[in-house]
Amino acid sequence: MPWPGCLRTGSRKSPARTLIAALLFLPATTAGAQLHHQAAVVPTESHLDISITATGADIDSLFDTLREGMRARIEYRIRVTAPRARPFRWLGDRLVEELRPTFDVRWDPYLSRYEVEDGSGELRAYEDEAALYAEFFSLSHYRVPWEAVAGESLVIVETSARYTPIVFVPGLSILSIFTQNRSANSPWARHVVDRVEGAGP
Amino acid sequence: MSLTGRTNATFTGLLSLILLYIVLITLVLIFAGQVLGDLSFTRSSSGVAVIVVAVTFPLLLLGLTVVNLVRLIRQRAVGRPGARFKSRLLLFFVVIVLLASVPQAILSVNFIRTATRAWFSADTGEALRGAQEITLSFFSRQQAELENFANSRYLSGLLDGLESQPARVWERIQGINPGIDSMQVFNPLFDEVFFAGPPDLRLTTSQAGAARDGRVIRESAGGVSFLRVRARYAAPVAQPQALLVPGDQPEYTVIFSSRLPEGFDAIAGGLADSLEFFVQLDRFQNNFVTAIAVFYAFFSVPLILLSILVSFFLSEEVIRPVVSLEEATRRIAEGDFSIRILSRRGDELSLLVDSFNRMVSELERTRTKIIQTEKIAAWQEIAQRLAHEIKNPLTPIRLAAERSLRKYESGSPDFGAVFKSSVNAIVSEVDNLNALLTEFREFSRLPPPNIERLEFLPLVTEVAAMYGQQSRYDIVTGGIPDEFVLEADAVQMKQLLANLFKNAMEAMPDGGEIQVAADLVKKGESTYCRIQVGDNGPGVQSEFQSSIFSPYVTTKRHGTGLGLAIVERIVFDHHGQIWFETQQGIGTTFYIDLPVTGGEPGERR
Repeated sequence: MPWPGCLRTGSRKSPARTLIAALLFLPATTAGAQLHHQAAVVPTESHLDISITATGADIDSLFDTLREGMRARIEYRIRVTAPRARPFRWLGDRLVEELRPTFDVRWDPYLSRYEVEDGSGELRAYEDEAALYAEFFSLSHYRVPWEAVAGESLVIVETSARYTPIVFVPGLSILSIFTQNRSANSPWARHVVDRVEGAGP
Repeated sequence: MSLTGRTNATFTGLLSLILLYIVLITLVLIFAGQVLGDLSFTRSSSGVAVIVVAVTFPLLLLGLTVVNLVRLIRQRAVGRPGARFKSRLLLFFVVIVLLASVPQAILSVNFIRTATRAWFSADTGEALRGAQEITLSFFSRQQAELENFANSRYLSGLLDGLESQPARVWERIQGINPGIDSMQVFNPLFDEVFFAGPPDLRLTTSQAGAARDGRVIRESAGGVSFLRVRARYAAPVAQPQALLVPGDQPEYTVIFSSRLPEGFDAIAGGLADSLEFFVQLDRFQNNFVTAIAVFYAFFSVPLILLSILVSFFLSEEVIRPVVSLEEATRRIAEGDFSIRILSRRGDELSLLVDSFNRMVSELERTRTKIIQTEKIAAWQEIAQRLAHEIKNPLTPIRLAAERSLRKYESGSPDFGAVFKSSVNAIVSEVDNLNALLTEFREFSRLPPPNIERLEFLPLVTEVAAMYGQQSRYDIVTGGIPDEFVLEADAVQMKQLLANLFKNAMEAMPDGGEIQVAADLVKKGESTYCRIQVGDNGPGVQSEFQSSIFSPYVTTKRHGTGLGLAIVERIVFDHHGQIWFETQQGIGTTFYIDLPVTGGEPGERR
């Protein structure tokens, strides 16, 4: 395990929800199943510190794709859940918070650099491919404030990464269902986290 | 009684389908807009809900269509009135729907394929790439010029005097390089000491500090794009201000900016977006056509299914008056003239229904009149026959009485003998009259049958015994199974058998054989006891065959003509049927079917 405090166990999601999710997103998850990720969830006094690194993505064509003028996307999926009380445990864990920090990368031919844009529009530029690769496929120290999971003494953080080699422009997004350039999802990993004593509200 | 045809239910169903159609169209528009815009919405909770609806809705429609189709097939199998007509109508509707939708689908997909090929041809791609090359070339030249200027070894000479007369330096630089739009000078403490140029190119201290020497960067602010480069200028040591940094020449920071043409960013961004769109469409053109075809099918198939469902309702609506007419016709054929059909006003079928109802009313009136006429005619005939039958013996009675009177008045010696024979004749004729009136009373006042379970063989044996003394007749009961039971009135059955035996014996004055048999027969869902009574007489003459059961029809000299009429009446009251088969010179057999349990009223044959 690359980070201390990381506890990985099997998934305990509700079977019904898993089945529905599998049916709905089957077209988008059948290809590129080799994507994996490693995650570390470190509870601090003020927040949950989450770092994720995705590996195994097919990046051979990534830079060619970027140079052709298209964009790629990485989405880190973070689900904070809490166990239900005993009579309702069969329903699976209760979703407390779901976060999806997303980053798009594209090549800027004017300044000859790669630009990574997050969901808020903030831009980061990388001039060499190695730096881009290292930064793009990792999420460092993402903060989930304890306020978001107020009242829970024990939370389960589920993490996954979703890599989309080609982000289709509006109007062509339906193509993502019909092409081989589908998104690759890494398997969900569970991290059981005890609240730090005195942490949060 | 009336047939309403579930008009309200059909209307409600049709209205529901129309509402469903509107909902589906709305859903299609929303979903299409979202899917074509950004597929990532499908991962949101509302997107999942839309997908669930989008998947279950067609399945629901498919299920409803299949259910209606199966129901129609069953209706056809059982021969429900109007089922075949409905099938044909449905087929027509489906053909019309397909005629409209299939060419439209092919046309749409072909149009999209052709249009995408035309709009996004190689020429378009070359033009887009060319435009981007030109933009890039222009940008690179601007960038290179600014960078070369900033890194020029002559720059320090141009900046000479910057610390004391920056305005003069700015004039000098503008004279040499008019492409420079602004100059901003910071002293060694990074306080701005000079700025010349448009205000929107002015940097804050922190922005200036973040820049790298000699490296051109592009920035945008307030919708304006510009290139910027940072340079250093070391002031001469003699300057008093240089004492601020002991041991070094005081360094001034100079930021030069060059404004890009107005709208450059928008054009460059637009070009990048267009090129991205073009590259994706060019690379996945075949997938795009497939996607559009599938997308089209995804929405058109539910609409087609919905149209078929509407067709079910419409065809039901169209055939309903026809079915009502068929049902009413059948009921009338069964004798129910009270039936009427209700229909909505205003269409041609309602005119037909109105005409039909008028016709049924007329038929009912005519039928009632005919029945009344028949009754009157029947009573007239009975009265005539009865009068005739009563009048016949009156003549011999009168003649006998007159003859006795004449003998008495003339004092004839044979008066006694004549008187005796006359009185005997009168008594005989009166007995005949009495017998005639007794049978008539029995016929007209036959009580309703008291149905009970009877063993048939003992009943036949009992009746046969009454005629057993007449040795020239042989009554054979071998065709009756032991313990054969039927449901009938015992008294009336004895009368029935007696009348049939008597009829057979009268047909065979020289003696003969009467066979009696019984068996169980099935007709459809019903079971009957079939009784056969046959003789080997001369058979029924053909001119009497149609009226053999009519009252007062007889071929015998002393027959009343009520025997078989009473038999038919008893069978009728038992809800049974009676008919006969006869062959000249061979004999006649009467068949009687009596229901085992319940049953409809018997039919005369």
